[in-house]
Amino acid sequence: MPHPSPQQQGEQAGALYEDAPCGVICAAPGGELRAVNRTLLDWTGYTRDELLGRRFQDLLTPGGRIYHETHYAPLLRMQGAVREIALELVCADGRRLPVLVNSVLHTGEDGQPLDVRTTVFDATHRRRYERELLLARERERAARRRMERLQALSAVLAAAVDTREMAVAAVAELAAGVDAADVRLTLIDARSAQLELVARHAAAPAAGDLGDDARASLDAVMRSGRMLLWSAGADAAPPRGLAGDGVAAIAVLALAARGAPIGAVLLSFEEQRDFDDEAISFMDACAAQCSQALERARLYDNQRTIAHVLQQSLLADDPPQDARFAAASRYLPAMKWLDVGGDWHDTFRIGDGTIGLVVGDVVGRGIEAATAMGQLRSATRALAGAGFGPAEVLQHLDEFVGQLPRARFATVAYAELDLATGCLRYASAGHPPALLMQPGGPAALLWGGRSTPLGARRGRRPGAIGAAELRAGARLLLYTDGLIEHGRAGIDDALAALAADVEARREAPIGALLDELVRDGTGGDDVCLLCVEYGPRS
Amino acid sequence: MDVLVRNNVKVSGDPAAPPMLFAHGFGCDQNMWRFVAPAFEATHRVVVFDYVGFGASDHAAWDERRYATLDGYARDVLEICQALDLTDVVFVGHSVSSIIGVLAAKTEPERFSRLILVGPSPRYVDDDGYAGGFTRADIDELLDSLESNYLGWSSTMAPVIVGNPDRPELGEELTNSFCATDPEIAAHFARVTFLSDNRADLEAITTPSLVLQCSDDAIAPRSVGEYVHERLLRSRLVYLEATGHCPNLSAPDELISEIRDFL
Repeated sequence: MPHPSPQQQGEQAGALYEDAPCGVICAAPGGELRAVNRTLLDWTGYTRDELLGRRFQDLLTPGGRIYHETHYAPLLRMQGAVREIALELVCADGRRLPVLVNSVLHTGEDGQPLDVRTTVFDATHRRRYERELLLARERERAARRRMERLQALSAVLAAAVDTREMAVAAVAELAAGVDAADVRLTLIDARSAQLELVARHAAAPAAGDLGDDARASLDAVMRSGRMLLWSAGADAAPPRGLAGDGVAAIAVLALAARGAPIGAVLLSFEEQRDFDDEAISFMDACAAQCSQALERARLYDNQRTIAHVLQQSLLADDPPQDARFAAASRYLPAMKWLDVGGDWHDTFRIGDGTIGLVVGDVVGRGIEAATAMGQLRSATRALAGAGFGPAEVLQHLDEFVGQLPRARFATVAYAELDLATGCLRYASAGHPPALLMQPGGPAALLWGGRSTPLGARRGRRPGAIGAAELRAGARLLLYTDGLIEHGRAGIDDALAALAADVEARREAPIGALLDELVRDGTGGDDVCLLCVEYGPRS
Repeated sequence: MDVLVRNNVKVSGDPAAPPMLFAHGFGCDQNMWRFVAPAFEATHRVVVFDYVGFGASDHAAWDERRYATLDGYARDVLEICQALDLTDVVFVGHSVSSIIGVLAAKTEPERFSRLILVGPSPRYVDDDGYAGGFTRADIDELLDSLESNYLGWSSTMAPVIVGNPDRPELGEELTNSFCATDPEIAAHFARVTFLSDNRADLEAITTPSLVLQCSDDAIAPRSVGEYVHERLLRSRLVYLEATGHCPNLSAPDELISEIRDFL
């Protein structure tokens, strides 16, 4: 075959330029298009006249324009060329054409830019494939994130003991796990017997309780025991009352414990959702975890309520009224425990002219400690009423505790005050010393009559007893160790500080004195206080 | 970690002269100032640097929480000033860095004598009565572009790029390697940059400022430049003939002359 003539070569080059398998562009350094080939016109649907004079960046999407300004143009200027930049051209009919672009900056001998020469490759299929890869990567990441969230959720649920705390943690993890704009957890309320909102996690501040329609819809899902999913664009209408303004999709999870419905979770999304298997199984797993944990919390809540009621009923008696003394008491549960403790105080009459004063502390917490406390309290009253003195009361309590293992190692301070003479006789089973402040005198610790905690030793308790003479206006303070443990170092320093506190407030009424002593709250233990003022105040 | 290493700080010019700190914008690193910064070496102590996560900075120091707002980047600027004990600083910020400079000057006003803001925008997204020039969907498209353009970044090349700021010997292999950035960090910075709202911060500034507004800037339109000028108490607004968003590359001479004029 003969070689083509120069003229034929020129014609072929021209045809190659116009109908090359890629778009070809020549533009000014600022982007104004000077020449484009026919392939580019075919692909984009523009005529040559429509394009010439416009700038290359004007053909891009707004996001692509930012990319052009911040990456493409600077790179081209600095390197003189860019390669394989992925962009999208906006075609004449608004369609977007994914392309890969290579550009070369052509400069004159003085280094000044003359023009930009660009080839444009149709990357529709390649981009689709890349998107699939990106999607797959994103799905994998989402799955990993959800796994981490589930682990985090189960850690939080395991640590929480309180229904509310669990519900708050659950809604937060659910919202993050599936990108929900709003998550509401409802549980059947014991009193109203209907679903009530317990916790909510909303991206924007959200107000308002559940409407009746919403409550009915949630109730229906809860009783069906099956997850309900809805997304705008689906044929079905949204469940009544659940898809408010700006909600494009919802999911409702049923919560059940041992087969019985306990509540429902409503998740709202601002965008339509195509719930994939991963999202559904994540929500399922969350619902199952929550159900179990909430049931556990509910049982625990019940137990705690019972213990609390029991303790309150045991401590509720008013002290006997008598013009010859005044009494005040305080009971402060420890902040860090949700359970009740086994501290108690008691003031009661023994015959006509004597009162019995008790402060005690049973080891442990909860219903068991509260019942043991109640039994010890009743036993103390019964023994005191039978006419045993302080030492014998403790001796008999020791025997009693022998048959009541839960009360073992309880400590008790017991005192009897003769209201006619002011004579005080006292004994202590391992309890911190009482504090006595005579009118005008210093506050002194009563170290007499001491022995070990109840049930701590074999054999009969020695009958140690202490005594003191109270003058009119004297104050006696009995307390549990929670008062002196709190935030102070060394038992001696703590006792000295307590004595100083009591002295400093000798003018305050005893109720105000007790309030001051517990003003800073409690530390790790309950605090129980009993203060008696003898005789009319001078 | 030494801040000067962490931020790949380069100091040149007259050590006794007043300092001039050049801060790069979104999309690149200190290379953006290669045609401008040298022009001030005769009259200033010239400092250029890369934000953490960009250029040849220490990528290990990048922390999603610290850089979750522009204030984290402003801390980079202030820590560099502290490390070099710079005072009376002339701060030159391009694009988002102009706002980062505003935040730095708001925190430590006494450190800065002048702010030069090239193509500033305190908010890119349109808001009630405010035209930033972009919608939220536009910004999502940008993030999409970043995803599709790894720009020479790959796990094999990344260590080479990060470890060799000048990279001359790498030649052909590293096309697009200027400004190559970890795509995750780039997308994060883009989100922080283009979704932040720093309009209220402008009014706290009393440092004399120069606002340089390009003609036909697709990223910071003229009305935004005027908005910044109106709210910066002691500012001068100059319209550049340069087009586009990067006059530091496309029209360095004009930029240099306006900055000189202001100083």
